[in-house]
Amino acid sequence: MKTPFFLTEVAQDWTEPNLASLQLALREAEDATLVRTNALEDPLFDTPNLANVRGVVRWSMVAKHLHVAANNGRFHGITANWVDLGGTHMLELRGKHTSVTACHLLRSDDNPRPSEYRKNCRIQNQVCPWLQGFQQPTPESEPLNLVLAHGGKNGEFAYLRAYTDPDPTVYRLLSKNIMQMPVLLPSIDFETVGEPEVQLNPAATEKESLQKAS
Amino acid sequence: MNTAFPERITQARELAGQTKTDLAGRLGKSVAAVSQWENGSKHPTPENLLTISQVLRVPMALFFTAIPTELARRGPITFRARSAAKTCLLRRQAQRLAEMVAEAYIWLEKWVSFPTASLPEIVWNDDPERAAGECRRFWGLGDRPIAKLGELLESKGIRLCSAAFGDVRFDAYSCIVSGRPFAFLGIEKQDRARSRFDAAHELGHLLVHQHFSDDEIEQAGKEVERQADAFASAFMMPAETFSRDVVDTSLDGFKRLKPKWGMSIQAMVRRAKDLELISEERYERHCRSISAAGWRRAKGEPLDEVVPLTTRSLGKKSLELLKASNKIKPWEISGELPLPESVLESVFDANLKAMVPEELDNVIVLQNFSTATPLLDPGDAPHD
Repeated sequence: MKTPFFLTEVAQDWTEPNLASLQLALREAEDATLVRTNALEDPLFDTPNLANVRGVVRWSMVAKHLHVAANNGRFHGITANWVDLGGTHMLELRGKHTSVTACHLLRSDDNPRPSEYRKNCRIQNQVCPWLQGFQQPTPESEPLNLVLAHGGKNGEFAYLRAYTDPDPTVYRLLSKNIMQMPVLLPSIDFETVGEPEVQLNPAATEKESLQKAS
Repeated sequence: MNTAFPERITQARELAGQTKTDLAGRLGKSVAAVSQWENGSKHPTPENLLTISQVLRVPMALFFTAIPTELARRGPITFRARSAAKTCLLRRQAQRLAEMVAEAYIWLEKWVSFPTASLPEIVWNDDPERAAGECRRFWGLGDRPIAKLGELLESKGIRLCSAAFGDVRFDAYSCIVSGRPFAFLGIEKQDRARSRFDAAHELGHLLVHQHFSDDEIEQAGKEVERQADAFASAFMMPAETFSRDVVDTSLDGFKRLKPKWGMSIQAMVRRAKDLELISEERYERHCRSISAAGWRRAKGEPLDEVVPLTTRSLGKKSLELLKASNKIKPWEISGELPLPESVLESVFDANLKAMVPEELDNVIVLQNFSTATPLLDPGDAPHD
């Protein structure tokens, strides 16, 4: 179940340029995954478990690409932190009001598999002042936990979702499909360079007119 | 009878990349005879001159035109890939091309104004980042990629010309002649990304090594090349913005950056190593993969077609201007400026002869070389 929702605080963290950077990082991660698990290039990957292997590689690539993108300043006002889940680490993109973790799904109507970490996030969201308005939020208030739900056969969807209910299938949709927003494709910004100017030499023109006059 | 300017024979011979022995052999004359013609102790007959002009593929009138007095090279000629330019012959060839191209520009400046040279004073402290940053700031640039590199250099007064010496190892060279900075880019490799790096490399030489003498350049050897490479790399891929883009450090990741930065994958991998975005080990692995993929060989790297061309436009624009203002027709230029076709092509990036209109195409111009009037008396000619 999903509920269309808009939240100013989310829009403040996840501006259009930041969403564009998300899209770029996801595309790069998907490409990197496919290159690294190409069974035609490397026959060692040619097993019935390729999809599973690819899933693990994608998980790692997405986290790494988002981490590097954040560290390189591609996200404005967002930092990346590795959260220790006791053995594995989850990448968290932290803004002023939100915290985002990525999750790969096969279909856009799927939901992340339940986990202790996700359950805690949902519980926090149920009392999140940024969302519920029970109390006046302070700068120290816990952020709203969002899931960057991305996936599809060719990485064709990515949404920001807020899971705010004890039921792990209930969420509020906070963005359009990031992968299908054409305006978000970052354009290459080159230095502006003018054309070199070539003009008739004024001295030559003057000399010529003097000659004509005489 | 008017006599030829001996230094023009030397100039034409060296431009053709020939030794005195080569020329003597092709003319069926002795080396001593060629030497005497070149040092002015004897004058070649008109028939000999005609043969020389045919053998060296220069117009006969060149021999009767003095080298302009204002032509003076300051500073060294610096080559990219010095190993390719190690032969004295190729150096001389390059030097002569530069002289003649500069002569053409001096002639053109009678009619046309070009952008004046605007190069920052760079003090090299072995800090390419600072030098490249100073240059970008001096020219009012930020840290974004430069697509129009040719236009940028030309608008800052650097005259870009093509050079073809029949040697694919030759990349580029630069020098300052009579206060005019020139950069000559090899056209034999047909590699856009490499050509852009070459142009930036030559910019590095013009900024950093213009006060060196030829001997100092020779003594410094590979060090000056390393400096120019480091400058080019930092100028074309500023540390902060380039680092931001290097997320995927696989070769495919660098390949994806090629359309944006317009640099070769090899140059980007090297830059990533210098900026410590990849380890030495990864760098070496990439170098091996690049070699194995054959990207260093003639077939080159993938995606070169998406790299912007290093456009040369000053010559073409001046030609259009002269044509539009009825000052002189393109096909008449070689009459006024008796330089070899290869030199005029290097300047104008066009074949002037091919511009002759159809109605004039069948007119045969008869020239009486023995009565051609020299522009200067040979006695007034400048000495080396």
